[in-house]
Amino acid sequence: MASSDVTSRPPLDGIRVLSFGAFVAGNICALLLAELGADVVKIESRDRPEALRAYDTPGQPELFEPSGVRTTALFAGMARSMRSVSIDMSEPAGRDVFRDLVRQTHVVIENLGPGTMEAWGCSFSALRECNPTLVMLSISGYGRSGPLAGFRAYASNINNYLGLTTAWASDGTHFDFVAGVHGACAVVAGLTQVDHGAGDGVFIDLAQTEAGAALMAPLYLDFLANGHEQTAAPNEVPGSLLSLVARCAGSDAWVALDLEDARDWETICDYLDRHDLRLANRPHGARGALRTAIEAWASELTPWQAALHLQALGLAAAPVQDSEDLWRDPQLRSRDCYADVWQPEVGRLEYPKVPGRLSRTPGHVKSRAPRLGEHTRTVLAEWLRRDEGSVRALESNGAVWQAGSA
Amino acid sequence: MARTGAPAVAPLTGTRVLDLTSRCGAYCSKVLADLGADVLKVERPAGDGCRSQPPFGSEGEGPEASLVFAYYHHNKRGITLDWERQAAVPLLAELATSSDVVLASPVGEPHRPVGFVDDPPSLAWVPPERLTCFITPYGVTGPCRGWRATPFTAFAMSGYMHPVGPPDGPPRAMPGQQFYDEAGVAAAFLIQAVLRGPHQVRDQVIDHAVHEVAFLNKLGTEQYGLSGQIKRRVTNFGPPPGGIWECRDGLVDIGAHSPRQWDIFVDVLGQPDTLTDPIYRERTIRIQLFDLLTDIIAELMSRCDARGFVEAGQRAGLPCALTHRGAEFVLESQARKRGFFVSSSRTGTGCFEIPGTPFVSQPPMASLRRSAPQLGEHNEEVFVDELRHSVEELNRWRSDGLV
Repeated sequence: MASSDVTSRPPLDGIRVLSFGAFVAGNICALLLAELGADVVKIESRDRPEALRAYDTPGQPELFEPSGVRTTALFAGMARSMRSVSIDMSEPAGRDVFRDLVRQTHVVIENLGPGTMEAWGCSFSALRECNPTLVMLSISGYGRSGPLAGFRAYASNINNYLGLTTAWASDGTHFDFVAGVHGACAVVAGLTQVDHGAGDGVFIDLAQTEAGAALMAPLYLDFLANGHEQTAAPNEVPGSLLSLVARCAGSDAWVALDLEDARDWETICDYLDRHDLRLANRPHGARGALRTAIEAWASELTPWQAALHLQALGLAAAPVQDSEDLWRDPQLRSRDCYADVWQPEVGRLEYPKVPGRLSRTPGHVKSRAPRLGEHTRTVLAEWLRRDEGSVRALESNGAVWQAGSA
Repeated sequence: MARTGAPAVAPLTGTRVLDLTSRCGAYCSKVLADLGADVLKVERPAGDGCRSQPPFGSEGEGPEASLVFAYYHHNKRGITLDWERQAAVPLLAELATSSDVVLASPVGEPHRPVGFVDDPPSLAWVPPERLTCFITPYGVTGPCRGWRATPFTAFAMSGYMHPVGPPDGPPRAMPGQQFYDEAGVAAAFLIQAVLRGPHQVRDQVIDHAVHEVAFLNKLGTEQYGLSGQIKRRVTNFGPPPGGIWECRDGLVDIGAHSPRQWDIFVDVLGQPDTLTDPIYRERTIRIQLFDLLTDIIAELMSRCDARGFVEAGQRAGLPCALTHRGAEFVLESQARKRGFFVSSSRTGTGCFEIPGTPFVSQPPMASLRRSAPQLGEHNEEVFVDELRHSVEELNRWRSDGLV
């Protein structure tokens, strides 16, 4: 049995990561690594801060750091636990500083536009010259090779391209997260590979489309094997006897129920006193009739009441939670899933924690998100042992920038 | 970069994973197996529920016919053991002793492994120095810990279903089991991190919940505590020109948020007079003028050719894509040129293509080594050859219904 003493060293303690990770996919990947212990340094340019810093929440005022750089609640949530070093990669001296940092890192993450790293002379093969055991993760929409390697992608594009929009509906962000989590998984695999001592670095080419398609597989398999295009009706679960979303008492209130097998079916028939619909009686039109009976029953109850009754019967059911429900979700509250983060420009806000519930070496939120260039001098001193004078020289020619300086 | 052959030494070569999960852990152990781990899938004698999940292969139904089972379980070995029964404990302990990781879903699924201890959450038969990872719908603590779930009901709970579907309802579930799988790859990340290097603490338990991985997705879209707004069901993601547009011959999705992307969009459409007002460059303005801009842009897009628009847009740097059906994606050349789809052949499902590893690397780290196991395929190999039990014992367990 595992003992319960918690140590202070999460599993990725000691791993250094340089991140050009932007928007959702890149930041989520970096965040997962950071909050499992890695020292993640986010590289941003003062002239072109990353897109999340300008992605406003409608109805909220524009927010600015003391330097005048914008920030947002979204950035505060996704870039937490990282430090920020501001390097101007368009300057040769800036690129030299970056390469010096690469010599001291284990991992580089990027999800920049096609060709950006190459234009800076920072392709994997170039960076491996600085660091032969480098693990580099490149996240892109469609992959860094093939006819669409030059294509740009934004979240919803991937849903559309993969067929999720057609099979379900439009939604903006799903596959960004999928790519970010796969990225973190691939990075640790790469680190393990390097540990094995092959002597080589690892370049990981992660296409959002491919990570997404791996999760979409059940929707493609019938076509791949049999040439059939899947045509399940909305909310119809393949293989289940009956799956439905029934309206409950309240405004826009719903409960979801999935009857997977005959035992589930008989259970609900007995509970609703509809013995006539039991499978043994081979009722005609039973699905429609049972659906109607469940809908009538649920309409008198709130979603949570209905779900609790159905769970007590041993059935798979859940309230269809809206954003307010989720905010007060008793399960998430009970399990302490919210990180309470203070960001000077944003205020105090709750954000989802990242998964990392390890009994003895758990991950945790290390710090609020950085202001742009907040840690330039600190990191250059720690990683490169650069003294203040040499950093100031770099600052004065614009290669790097420290927030709070002139 | 294409998928070029098998890794010389995969990162998880020599790592043994004992997998008692069903749907919650199938993708996790698939990822670990793809990366070289020896995953032993332990099914109850009736077979994993996934084996009856459609669609089925061309060879008809039966325990070996599910394409879903075949996809999620390649690279794994398979044995049977009724892990709900007390009589299984000695064998489970032996199996765990020869493993580095034990995966289980002790709550939230219809079948639960014997020996689950509530406080602290653990499996009594797992020896020290083994990592235990629970992958469950809601976690092994908290008021909903015992709730049974399926990907459909877990999705309802996630907050992601409510804002999707027709405005009058009902809300609509995402098809498939994508949050289960996203939780699976997140678990594979945590497991690998704990297994990396000799200084790591392996003697611990990971309590990993699908619900919490889904909740992480809300980091991007939800700030209820800030806005107090309940997201309503809308048909388009927006704001314009973001969203899906009907062209002459098909649908196109555009993702454009920055002022620069707006400029590119207007350029690609040939600078129509109706869109040149500079105030439209600001995304917040476009949110306020959602309906007006939607009408203008819908009319302009209806005159475009879908593929032509995407090609012109991408040349100019506009993130946009065709809105495919699943089958159309499968036939597209990009993933094919990168060797994404791989051929799988096994008794029961026949020969068909499956999506391959979710990332490519140089040197390669993952590959398809073997197809999914037949029910109990490796019983003799594991119980007799590896654990050194006699064939007579195995036969006794078989006749007892334990194996």
